[in-house]
Amino acid sequence: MSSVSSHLESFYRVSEILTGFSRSDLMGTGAAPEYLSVLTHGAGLTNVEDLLGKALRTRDSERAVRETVWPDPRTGPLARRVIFLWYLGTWVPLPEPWHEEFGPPATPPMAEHIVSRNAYIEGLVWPAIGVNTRGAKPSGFASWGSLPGLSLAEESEGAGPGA
Amino acid sequence: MSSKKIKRRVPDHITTPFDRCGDDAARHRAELIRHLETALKLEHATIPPYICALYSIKEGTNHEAAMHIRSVALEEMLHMTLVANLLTAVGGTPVVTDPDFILRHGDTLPGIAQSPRVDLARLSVNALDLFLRIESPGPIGDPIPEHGGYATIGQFYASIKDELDLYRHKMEQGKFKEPLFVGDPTLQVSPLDYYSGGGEVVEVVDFESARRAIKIIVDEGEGFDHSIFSGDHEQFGEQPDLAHYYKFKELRVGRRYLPSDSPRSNPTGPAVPIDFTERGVYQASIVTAKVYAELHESVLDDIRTFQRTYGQLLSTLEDGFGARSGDGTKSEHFRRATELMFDIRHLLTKFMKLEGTPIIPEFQLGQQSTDAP
Amino acid sequence: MAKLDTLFDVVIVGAGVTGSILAKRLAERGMRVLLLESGPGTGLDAGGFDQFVDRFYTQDIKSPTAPYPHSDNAPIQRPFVTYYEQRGPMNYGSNYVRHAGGTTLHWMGTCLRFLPEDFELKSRYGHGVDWPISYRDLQPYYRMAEWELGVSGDTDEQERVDPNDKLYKDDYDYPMRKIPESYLDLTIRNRFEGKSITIDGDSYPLRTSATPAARNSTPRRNLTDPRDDRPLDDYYRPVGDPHNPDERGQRCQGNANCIPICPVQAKYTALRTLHDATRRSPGRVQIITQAVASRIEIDPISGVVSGIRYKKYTDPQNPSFTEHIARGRVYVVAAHAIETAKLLLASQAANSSDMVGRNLMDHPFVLTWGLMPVPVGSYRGPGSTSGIPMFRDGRFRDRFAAFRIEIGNWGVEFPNGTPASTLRSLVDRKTFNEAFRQHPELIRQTMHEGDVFGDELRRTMRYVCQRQFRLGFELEQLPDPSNRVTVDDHFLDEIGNHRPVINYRLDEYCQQGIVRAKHVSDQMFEVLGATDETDYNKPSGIAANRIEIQDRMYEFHGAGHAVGTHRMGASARDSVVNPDQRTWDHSNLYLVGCGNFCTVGTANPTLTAAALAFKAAEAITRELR
Repeated sequence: MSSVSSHLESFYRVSEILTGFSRSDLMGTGAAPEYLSVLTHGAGLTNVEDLLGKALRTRDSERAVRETVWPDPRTGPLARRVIFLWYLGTWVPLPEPWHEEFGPPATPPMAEHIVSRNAYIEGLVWPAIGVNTRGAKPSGFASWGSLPGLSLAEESEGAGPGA
Repeated sequence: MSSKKIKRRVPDHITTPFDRCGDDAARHRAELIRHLETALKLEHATIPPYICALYSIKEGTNHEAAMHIRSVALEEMLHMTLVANLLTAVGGTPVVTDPDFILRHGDTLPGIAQSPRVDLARLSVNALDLFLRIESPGPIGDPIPEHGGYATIGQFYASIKDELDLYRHKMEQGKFKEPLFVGDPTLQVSPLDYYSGGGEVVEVVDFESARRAIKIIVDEGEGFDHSIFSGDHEQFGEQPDLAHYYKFKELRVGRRYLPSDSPRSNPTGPAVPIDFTERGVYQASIVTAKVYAELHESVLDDIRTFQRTYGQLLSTLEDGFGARSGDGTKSEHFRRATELMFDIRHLLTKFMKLEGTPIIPEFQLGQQSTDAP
Repeated sequence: MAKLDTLFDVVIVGAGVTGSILAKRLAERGMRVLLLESGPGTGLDAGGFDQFVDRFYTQDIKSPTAPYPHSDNAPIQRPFVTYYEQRGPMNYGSNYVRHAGGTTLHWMGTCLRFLPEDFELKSRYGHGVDWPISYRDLQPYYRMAEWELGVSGDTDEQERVDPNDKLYKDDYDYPMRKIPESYLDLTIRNRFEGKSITIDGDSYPLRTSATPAARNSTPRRNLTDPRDDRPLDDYYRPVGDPHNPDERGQRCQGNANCIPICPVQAKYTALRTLHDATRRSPGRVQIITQAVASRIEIDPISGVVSGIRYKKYTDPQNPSFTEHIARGRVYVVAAHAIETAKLLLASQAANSSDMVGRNLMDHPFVLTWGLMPVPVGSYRGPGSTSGIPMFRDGRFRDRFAAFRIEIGNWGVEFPNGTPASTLRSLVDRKTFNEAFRQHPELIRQTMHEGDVFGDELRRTMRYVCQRQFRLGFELEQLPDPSNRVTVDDHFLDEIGNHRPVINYRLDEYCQQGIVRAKHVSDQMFEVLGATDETDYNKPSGIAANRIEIQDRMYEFHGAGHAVGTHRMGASARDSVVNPDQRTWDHSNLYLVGCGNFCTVGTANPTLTAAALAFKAAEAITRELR
């Protein structure tokens, strides 16, 4: 576990790029250690280290992710799993061909599952689309009558449902 | 009959601010307005510490504690609304956006001499001890401090009750000509505007409704006629509601009250499981200057958002208190306020979960947000 | 065999909404009531509801039944598990919940009344049958049901749909104001303004209407509670979590999760009525959970019911049980349209008309979906807050099935699994396509190409998902004797009770309705300026049925509205119960629930079933006094 937790800072930096969410947003889920641990279980530490290493090798990590990590047959599927974990709180299994080619022998493919109760509640898919987690983060009576993220003043300035 | 003195709660030998108003009805009303302005601040002051404790509870754990603290917090919000109604009814204007309206971490309750320091903290034994002190009304007969204010919360509200009785009495005697309830009745918040699980809002238009409003505030806090229960569950078949003090007592002792328990003894009923460790509570603490300096820039952004949102909440409430009912504006302000309350909840939860450094931010108005604590 | 030595006044099978209402009403009138519930009673205990909520969070697939632990000894049809023996030609797509509280645990809460015309389908339009009672007969019971369920709605607005219907008594109103419309509703309403569509040459002005729902809203004042004709002193007091004495009726908070579970219980579940029944009449209501009624015992000479035989189990996952007989003066089966029919058939009870199990209906549920041209704030608020009412009734009913159109506030979650499926298609197009080929039942291919991450992913997700919406067309289905539930000793569950054998099809009348529904949808999408993403050529595995009508493919789902299997009638020849809900064949056996419906109309059936339960309670009270 210590080798996993020592990667936490790198995991945050790569996750910021992949998810488009701020460090505070990611830390505020409280879920990063859990996600990193699930990712390591599902893909093997070597592959995770490869993902983090490739992404953070240069100063322009965004570019490294886009040009190196994302299209790469080994790290690309991993990067996508990172997004699924943060957005859905769900481990989405890696494709079988990936396991055949890159999967560590001691790591059998892990079935799809919700990582934890907290992972569902803190799924970033909801804030990404401007709403709250269904069934866990209420938005208040009648909040659904206006567009999310608009103040009263903005609405009255012509952005109402008739527009 | 008319010369008969009315029985007051604050002992006669104690001189309250109302006693200094003589037979001047206008001075009495002005003094009552000042008292209710303090009461508004007082009722609000309990909400930040309660919701910090509430949202420090990890979801799915400490069910009883969460239920109790949540119900108390909701009732405090109701009390704040009731005080606003009282204030409006006697011709005052609820203002909740002054920079000093919100207590800072460690401040004492406004106008109360024997007040504990109100800290913002996660749920803990210390937090519950603080809540017990806040909800313990204290003796009515202690001497009033020389520099103003009251000795205890109990004395403060007793004095307001006495004043309502006195004013009514003086009007009946013909000594006061000017009615007390001069406020615009369309400014009253009604259940159509504000509705929560915390109970029903009373529209204050006369002595009788004012008495009911004060009674809810006092009974739910300290208990009804010194019993454990708050006495507002008259409907057949409903369980009686515990007064705030006794709810916190149950959590502090870790046992439920039985109907046979005396208010002076500890609860002796079934155990109430409570877990203050990190299994049940996010181990968050108030942001100190040292912690603040080390927080990630994006976390500081979120703290500023939190404080701005809290400021918006208060100004929305102020707009709501000041709006006329009838055309939907009033309820729209309260609808918006409810939305902001949930935003506050979700932001606080985020701080509590902040991996590595769970924090509790200072509650303050948005405009001061650029200052580091 | 153990015997319960108590003789109850009334033995009720099923602790769902109708059984609970009966138990509460009868106990209030001093009767001793026993409720037998086949499923677990988790929700009856303090903290039980929170267990459901916890379970919801951690279930991988958030299906309607996900929060409610399954009992192998009281099974249901659910994803990837077969309970029905489907004999075709089509699949019956609706299920229910076997738990104390019944299917109200995960219903949407829609509380529309039937229309007066719905009771007279045969005489007005020449289809189906007439009910033996009229709208007027049911009207007082609708009022009671609306107060028991705590319905929010505005009578004025409901009545404007067709003022001739005179749906409400003059001084009546719902206990709470209507649930505010969603931003999507308002957007659609504004875009409909002044527009019409044309179906079969007839013009229909477009309009929307807020939907009454059993969901806490803003209380009204100065009304009379119709259940006991008691004037309220002040405001109506909403009811919330019955186990939290401080919870004075939580108002809807916008958890956007009515199905599968409202975490704050702002939505009615029968747990409230059950709680009232046991708390307000202490000692008079007993509930036995995990007790599956297996046979109605009938005295062969007199024809009266002498007991209900039931199997009591302790572990929902272990098929061991003990057998008992419950005895009462009157018996009521309130076990859901399919389970009640099953029990009657297994007991050879109440079936001299040969109508038991027949005329099984549902609202075949046709969905269309796409993107609005502007953001509409999807995925917020109750699942639906408005409907489009024009096709609930009209002259067209002599030609094709009526339908109610529900506006869906939760994107295209149903049936396409958005926004998760949208995310998957945007992030991992290639794998998504492969997965889709292998497991079409899990996800439907969506239109959003992409291979994006980071800020671009957030932007695209927000752009797409904020515009997603769907319309749901709930069609009226006619009573068809060949649509039926039967039992067959070859098909038994773990503890030897019958699994339902189901024959099901859609007739021409309903199919013609489906074709019109799609025409209506096409024209509405055009008026709305919306991008229509409905594509029935890409199959969805979760749809109950795919059907080809006039060379075009359609899909429909179950709406969860099983009705008709032991219908009410004016004659013992062609119906199972009389207007008092008493079986024609057994003087002390009553049936309540949606199985008593003669036709299904276009209203979600729970409110009408609840109203009929109030009616039955009066009949039983008269009989036992």
